[in-house]
Amino acid sequence: MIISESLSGNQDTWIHEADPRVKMLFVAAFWAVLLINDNPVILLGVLLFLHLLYGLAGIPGSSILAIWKALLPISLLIPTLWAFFYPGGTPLWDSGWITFSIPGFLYGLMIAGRLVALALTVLLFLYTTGVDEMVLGLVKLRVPYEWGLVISMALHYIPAFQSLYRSILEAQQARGLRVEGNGLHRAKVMMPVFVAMVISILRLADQLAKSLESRAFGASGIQRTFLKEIRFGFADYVYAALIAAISFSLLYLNFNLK
Amino acid sequence: MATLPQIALQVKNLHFAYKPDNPVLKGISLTLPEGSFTAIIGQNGSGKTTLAKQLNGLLRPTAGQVYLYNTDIQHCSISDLSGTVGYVFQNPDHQIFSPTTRQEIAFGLKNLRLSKQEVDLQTQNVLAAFHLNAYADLQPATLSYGLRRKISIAAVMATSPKVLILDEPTIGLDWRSTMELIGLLKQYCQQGNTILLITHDLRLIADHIPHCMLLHSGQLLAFGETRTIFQDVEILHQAHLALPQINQLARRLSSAGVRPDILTVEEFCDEYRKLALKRQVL
Amino acid sequence: MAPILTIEKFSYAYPSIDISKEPQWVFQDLTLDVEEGEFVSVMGPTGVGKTTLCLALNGIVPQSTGGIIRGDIWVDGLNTKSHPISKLAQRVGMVFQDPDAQLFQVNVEAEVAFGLENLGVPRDEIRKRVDWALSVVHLQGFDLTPLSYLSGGQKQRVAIAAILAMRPKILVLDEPTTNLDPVGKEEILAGIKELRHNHGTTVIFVSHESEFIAELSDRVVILDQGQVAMAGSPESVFSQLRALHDIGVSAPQVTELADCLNREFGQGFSFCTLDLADRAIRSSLMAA
Repeated sequence: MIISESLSGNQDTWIHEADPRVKMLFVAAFWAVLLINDNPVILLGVLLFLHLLYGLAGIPGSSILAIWKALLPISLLIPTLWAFFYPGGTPLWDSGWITFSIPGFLYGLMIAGRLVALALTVLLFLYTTGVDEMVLGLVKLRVPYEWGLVISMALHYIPAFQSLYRSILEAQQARGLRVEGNGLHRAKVMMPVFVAMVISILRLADQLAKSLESRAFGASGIQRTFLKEIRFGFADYVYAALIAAISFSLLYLNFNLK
Repeated sequence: MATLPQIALQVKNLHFAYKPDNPVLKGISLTLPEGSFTAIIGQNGSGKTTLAKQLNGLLRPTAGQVYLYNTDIQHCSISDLSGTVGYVFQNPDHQIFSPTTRQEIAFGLKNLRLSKQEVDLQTQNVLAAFHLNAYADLQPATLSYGLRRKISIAAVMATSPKVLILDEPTIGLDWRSTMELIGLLKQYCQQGNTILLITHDLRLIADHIPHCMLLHSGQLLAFGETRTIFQDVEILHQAHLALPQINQLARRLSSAGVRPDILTVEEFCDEYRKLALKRQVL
Repeated sequence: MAPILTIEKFSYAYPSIDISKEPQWVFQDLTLDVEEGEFVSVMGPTGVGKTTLCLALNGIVPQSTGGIIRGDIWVDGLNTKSHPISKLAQRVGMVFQDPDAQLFQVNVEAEVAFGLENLGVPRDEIRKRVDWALSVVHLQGFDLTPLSYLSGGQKQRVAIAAILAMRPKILVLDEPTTNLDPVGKEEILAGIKELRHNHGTTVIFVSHESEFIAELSDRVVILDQGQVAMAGSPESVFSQLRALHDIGVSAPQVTELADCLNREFGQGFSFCTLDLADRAIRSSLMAA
């Protein structure tokens, strides 16, 4: 899976089995609904529904908790900011220039909730889809293969770059580099690390390019084939229909409920 | 009367684990006298690099102590220690970043807060000592791997660290560069500095490095003279290390009377002379 | 029969930023032929251009790297200057030194299939070749294993399988064991030995592992200063110890022994492998 097995629960549920294109449709549809929606009850319903899906996908509670934890600071910050800066609020004390607005607070809460829902939606996709599936899905949707390759390469090398950063930092510290200061000064101090990283990455890119060419990547005039196969099954059509139905219903409700 | 050499490095019952349930180093104790040249050998995952990083503060023990010239290093920062303990990393590209070789070598010296004159003078000396004058104003990143390797070693040795640790410095080097490096290191040792060299090249150790320590699964299985340790085939086999070809030959010919503990070409020649004279072949 | 690889008066210089300066030639008038099924090892001091030579065999030099090129290289009858790299890549398979700069797919089978997918090979044929290639390197059953779970030696075996699956006529291995620990090294060297004996593949093996080279090669080529300095059977090349050391290249330890014995006792030994040394010394000691 795009997010490692240990975090995604390593299951094989119907959600995992679903065609990646259906899951991409799910993300696109729900994001559209969430961004248009301004009804807090609907938002709550969507959040509950997402948690239900997580449970059905067998994703461990610890991972869900981790997502909430990561989003908590911003989920608290947004309503707080809205509360203090929403016009027309009640003053906190007699001098009256700091105001607290309840409607503002509630509105901020909804925005925070929307953020969490957006994150949960896209993360569900990442938890239940393999990189190769996603790339294949994109190719079937007429996205050039090169783009998918770039994405899968980036995903592969991000952890490598993290460990590269650590190694380089250690090597420079061992030569007396003192990691100190903040902001601009710290950036200046860390220059040896950044430069060495860039050089290493450029070198890697060069070697990778040669390896790709040696394996006939980019052969012109050849229709690329794929070992893996994804086919839209009956279940996938059902899911797609359900997603469309749910999305339109939610939008309809949004515009007709008060 | 001979004076006992000072103790450069002492490790007392060192334990280390990245995560509590997964110990990497299990109770290692050792003493390195000043001026010693010791190889660290062991399988990948045995803890060689982890142990080496305990010696310059990059990693801190979860239990046990590390003493550098009788001072406990636990309160010394990495940058403090970098003046005394030099660490050459396995990949020279993890160190190299400067626009010129000259600046690369000066980097460590500058971190020691020396005066500009001192930095320039020492940089000049190091460039000359390592035969790098021709490359002084070139960008190290564009030079060949062998040169980058040499530059990264020169840059660390420029600060004259009393203890020098090298992690697999001979990988990818050709024979001549390897011999040059070993010669330089031996000389450095004779000047009273202590060297620890992590390597898989047993032939190199047998020919040039007098002392050796063997790590396996985080424990120190053996520590002493190279010759003694290389006699223990069992222990080396456990660590998946293959003895030099000359030793394999000697063992094969043990049925013809050759002693199986031969480690160098010279020793084999001597042995051959003895046997040949005995059999009146010569 | 025509050699499968012909290098004829090959000269190459990488593009330089300063066009007014003289080109820095990596090779000058390099000439070498390799017959089908031969195992040729290439040695030389670091920086001499061994990797550049490898890249010249599948056209990356000069087609991707630019620079100045003179002379020709023909691979299975195709000139490396005028045929697309993707076509040459079907004849010349290349494995590089660093497995982490070659492999990046989600799992082993995806990695081995990559080259075949690029060539538009039909799906069932890909499947067959992937299974075959994995069995050759003894990694059957590892199809769905993510690459991060593998050791260095295993990764390099996957890299070799990925190239073998493309069924190249020539297999070029550019220092495949240099980055590996002894265990990984053993794995790869054993695998190469097997390829040699069971499959008769034409192999160009670039390495510093002189002892392995002595045992397995039909021919050894030593490069120095852009030229072929020495070429011949392992025995003939490795017996010239002085020349090798002048160039800066190592030789199997037993050849140093042969040299030592010859100098001291004038015995005329010339073995370069463990087996030959064993026999020669044993019989010389029995000659009483």
